[in-house]
This record gives sequence, C-alpha cells and structure tokens, in this order.
Amino acid sequence: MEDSMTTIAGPVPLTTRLVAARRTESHVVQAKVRDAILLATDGASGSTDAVGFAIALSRRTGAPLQILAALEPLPLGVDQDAALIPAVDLLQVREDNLHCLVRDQVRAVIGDQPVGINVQYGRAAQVVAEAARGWGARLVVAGLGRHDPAARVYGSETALRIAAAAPVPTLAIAPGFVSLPTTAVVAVDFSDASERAALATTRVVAAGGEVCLVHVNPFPHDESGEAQGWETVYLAGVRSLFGQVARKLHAANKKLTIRTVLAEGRPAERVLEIAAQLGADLVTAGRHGATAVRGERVGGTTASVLRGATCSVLVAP
Amino acid sequence: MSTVDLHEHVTTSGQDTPVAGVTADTAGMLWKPATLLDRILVATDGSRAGGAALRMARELVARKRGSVGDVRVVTVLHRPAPAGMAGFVLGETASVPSYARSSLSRIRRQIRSAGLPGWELHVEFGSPARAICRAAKHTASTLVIIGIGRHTPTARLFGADTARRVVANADVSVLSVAEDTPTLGRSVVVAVDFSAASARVARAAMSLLEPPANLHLVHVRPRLETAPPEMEGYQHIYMSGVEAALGELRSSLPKVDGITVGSFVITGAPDTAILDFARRLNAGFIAAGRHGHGIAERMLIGSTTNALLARAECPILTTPPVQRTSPRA
Repeated sequence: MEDSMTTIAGPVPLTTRLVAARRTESHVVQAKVRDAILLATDGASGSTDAVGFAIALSRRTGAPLQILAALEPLPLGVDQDAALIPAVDLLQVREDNLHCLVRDQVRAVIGDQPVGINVQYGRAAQVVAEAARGWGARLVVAGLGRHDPAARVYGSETALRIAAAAPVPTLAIAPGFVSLPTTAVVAVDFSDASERAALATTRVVAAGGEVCLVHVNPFPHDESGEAQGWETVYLAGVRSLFGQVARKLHAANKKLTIRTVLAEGRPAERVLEIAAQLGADLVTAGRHGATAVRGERVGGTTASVLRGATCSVLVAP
Repeated sequence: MSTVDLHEHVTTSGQDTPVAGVTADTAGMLWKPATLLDRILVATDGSRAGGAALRMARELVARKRGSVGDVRVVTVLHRPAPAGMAGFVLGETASVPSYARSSLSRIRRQIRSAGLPGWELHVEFGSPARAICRAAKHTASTLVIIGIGRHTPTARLFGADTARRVVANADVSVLSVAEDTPTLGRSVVVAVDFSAASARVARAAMSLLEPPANLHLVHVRPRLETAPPEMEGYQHIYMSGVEAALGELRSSLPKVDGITVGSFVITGAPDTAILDFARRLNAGFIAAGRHGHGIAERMLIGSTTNALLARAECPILTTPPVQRTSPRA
C-alpha cells in the first residue's frame, strides 16, 4: 500500500517549474502541496545521497517531493568584481548552472523523467524555511555533507542553519546513507521538541526497524541526602516518561521496536557513543527553540550531535 | 533474629549502633512496629515543657499494651561535672550535690505526677543538648522525647534551642513536644523529599500511629514558573517523577490495618507550606527526616526541620541520618 504510489513517476508530480527569482526575496508562487517532502540540495556531491534518500522516502510513503535549490548570494568581494559585468547576467548564469547540477543529480537517481526544480535566490536556511512554510512540507531533507570539503554550501553548518530555521523536522543525510534508516537513536530530554523528534523518527525509519530512546542524565551521582532525593525523583520521572513516549511511538508506528536507554555523562557525547555502539544509521534530537527572544536557534546538545554525527541526523523543531 | 541483626549491621555500615526505630531495608520486610518505643529517654528540666514530654512518654507506653515500657528520664545540671563523675542515676548513689537537691526532688515529683513512678532519673552535667545526646547513647535509647517551651520569650528561646540542638546532634529519633500539645492524635504529616531520610521517617511515624489513623505523605514543590526554557524537559521529569516516587514510597510502606496512607504535592516555601497543610488537616504531629550534615542540610527538609521546630503547634518527629563514614568524634 505504501509503496504503491510513486509520485516521481507521475505525469507532472512535481508541480513546480523553474521559478526565476531575482534579487528580491524569494516568492512562493505555487499552491500548497500538503505533507510534501522538501528536498534542499545545492547540486554538489555532498548532497547526492540526500537526493537519493528523499526520492526513496517519497516513493515509500507516497508523499510528494519538492526539490529546492538555493541560489546563495555571492560573498561581498565577489559581488564587487561582478559589477564589471552586468549583474543580472551573472545571476542568470549561476541560476542556470545550479538548475543543471540539480537536474543531473535527480536524473542520476530516477532517470529521464520530467522533474520540477525550484531555484530560489537567498540564504539556504531562510529560503528552505520559507518554502517549507509556504508549501506545507512535513519534512525537509538536506545533505549533512560534512565529509566532502567541496560541499561548503550544504555542509553541516548549513544543515545546522536549516534545522534551526525550518518549521518542520529537518533530516540531514550523511554521505553513504541512502537507504531508509533501520536503527535510530533518539536523544530524549522530555521537552516537547524531543517528543516531536521521536514522533518524526517513526515516520522515516524503515518498517521492522528499531528506535532507541536515549536519555542522558547529566547530573553526576551524589550520595548526599539532597541529591539522593532529587535522584529518586529524577529516575522515577525518567522511567515514567520513557513509558509514555514509548507508548506514543508504538501507537504512531506499530512496525517498529522501541527501546529505552538511560545513560549518564555529557549528553551529546553519550548519544553519539550509543549510536555508534548500536550501529545506528539515524540520530534524532529536538531543537530547543526559545523562539520569541532570540530567533531560531539550536540547543547545544543538538548542535554537537549534528556536528559530530557520522550518520544521518533528524532535528525536530 | 540473627538475620535481622545482620541485616541492620550491613545496611548501616560503619555505624556502631543501628538507627533506632528504623530497619534500613527497603522492602518493608523487617519493619518492627515497636522498635521506636523500645527504650525511651525523656528529657526534662522540671518545667511545663518537661511535664509535657513525660505525659507524651506515658501515652506512648500505654499504647504498648501488655508490656511496661522501658522509660528513663534524664535531667541536666548546667554545671561542670564533679571530679570523677560524669553523671549518676538518682537513688543509686548518695552523692547528690547539695545545690541540686531541691530541683531534683521537684523533678521526681513531676515524674510521679506526669509519668510513672518507676522511671529512673539520670542526672547529667554540662551543656543540656550535649548531655542529653550523651545519655541517649549510654542508655542505648531508641527515642528521645523532649519538650519545647513556648510561653515566655526566654523559655521559647532556650527551650526550642535545646530541642533543636538535640535534634541536630542525636543519633536517635527525637520527638519534640510543645508544652500545650502532649498528644500525637490520629494523623501525621510526613515531609517527603524522596531521600532515604524521608522513607525512614515515614516508617518511624507509622510506628507511632495507633489505628485508626491517617498518614499523609506531603511533598513541597518549589515554584518553577520562571524556569528558563532549557529546563522544560527537567520540569517534565520532575513532575512525573514526583508522582511516581510518591507512589513508590506509598507502596514501600508496611500495610497496617486501620492506617490510611495518602500522598499530596503542595507548592510553596517548605516550612510554611508543611505547617499550613498540617494545620488545615489538623494533623496530630509532623515527621521530618534529617539527611546528614553539610550541604544536604540546605535542601527541603534539613533547614526546614529547624523552622518546623521553631514554629510548629504540634509535636515533631525527626529521625537521624544514617552515617556513612566513621562516627563523629
């Protein structure tokens, strides 16, 4: 049932055509496609596997795919040199170039099918966030791209910025992780964001896969009475909340095995260690958004996980 | 019996005498209702508060149907000890200092009227709190009952202070009795912070209750409205942890016919909230465990115990911390 819909192969499943945005902010000119997967790529090799993954996920779940490439403004120095030639032409050249790169990337996966690619002018994080909002996407897929020095634009800092700004979960695909994850480690701090992250995980892990909820207690063990009381409460709370979250995940996707692990130490380190031990191909964390005051930002643990991960990373807002 | 002793010895390692009234197991298997009342030491200086402590001891002994309670009385002469004498039991030696004769005979009259005539009177010298603790140790008492004077400012000051010092330093459970409320009633409010100390004091409190009675486990939650967003997860953990831990504590307590155990979470400053709650429930007494020394005293109950002693309108039961290192010199 899930695999029966293949949106990529449809007549024009991707409703978009090249949107030639100019120096203005990007405009979303198309109708909302509910529950779409938004693939953000820069056409470089670091995001090749993100393209393959997004297409595979779209095929598996039947969710329509939106492909978005951000045409980043040139650094200031380059722009000044570019003033020697007509600026619009330069932009057009870069835009065409990017479009071709992305088209080749997609064709490498799906062959000679018609593909709609959006090229939007602007910073990747803002462009992706705006498009995700405007198109009603439910998931952003981008390259983690850290292992390829050439993938500067969609490198892990870009993935981090996209994750920080996106209104929906962002999945940063590490090179080599094309297939759907089978073992996911979820960093759980029991904030609402981490619960959303856990739920988002159940939607991307392959059927029959395993989701391991990891909570790291950062407080060192202490024998004094004060700490003893807190520890009792803490452990009882973690046990009870683990149960609640596991039940929710099970209800969301009954084909998954849910495990829970309580660890001690530095959260990001321990989560990555456990992910390595389990051979996980996905690590998930919630973004800590104190949105009102400081704009979008990513919590320290989540940022460290994103920077340190050797597998794909899912960040939920 | 020997297994019980062994168990107590193991779980209170490093301690020469087991904590009175408390078996340190967690399963509730070794709970012995009468332990706390095995050997009672009543401290009196002949005042009304001392009389209240004696009456409390008499009430508790009366609850132990069938057996005459082992009760001793201690009083302290606030003077340096005479050479070659740390303290004495009245009647066993003739050498009663002349300056103390009238006050000691007053205390004997008080024992006859407020307590029972057979209770022996130990006389100690020196600083009252220290001498009472010493006597508790020498007599291997399981419970110290001490009165808190209230009516005059000085009595309140000195009375409460001695009681506070005894509570802070005794290696046994202490029941502090205000002079106008020498009864335990039928309900107790147990201050709970989920340390081992609060589990111990809950058991001790239960052993003092006579069915039918109510035991209320009360946790005071600090106000968290202004916590930063990073704390969101910890708040969730705390809230659901308190609920779960209260349930665990409830089920870890021995089941006694006629004693109903309830649990409550209230918000506020620990001492005020506990006192308000106890007053609203018309609780017979309040129970609070001591953690130990150092930083632990800062938290909910350590510092709260002092405030409770100073302001409570009902008796206060405290249990000593279990010592982990070698006993203090």
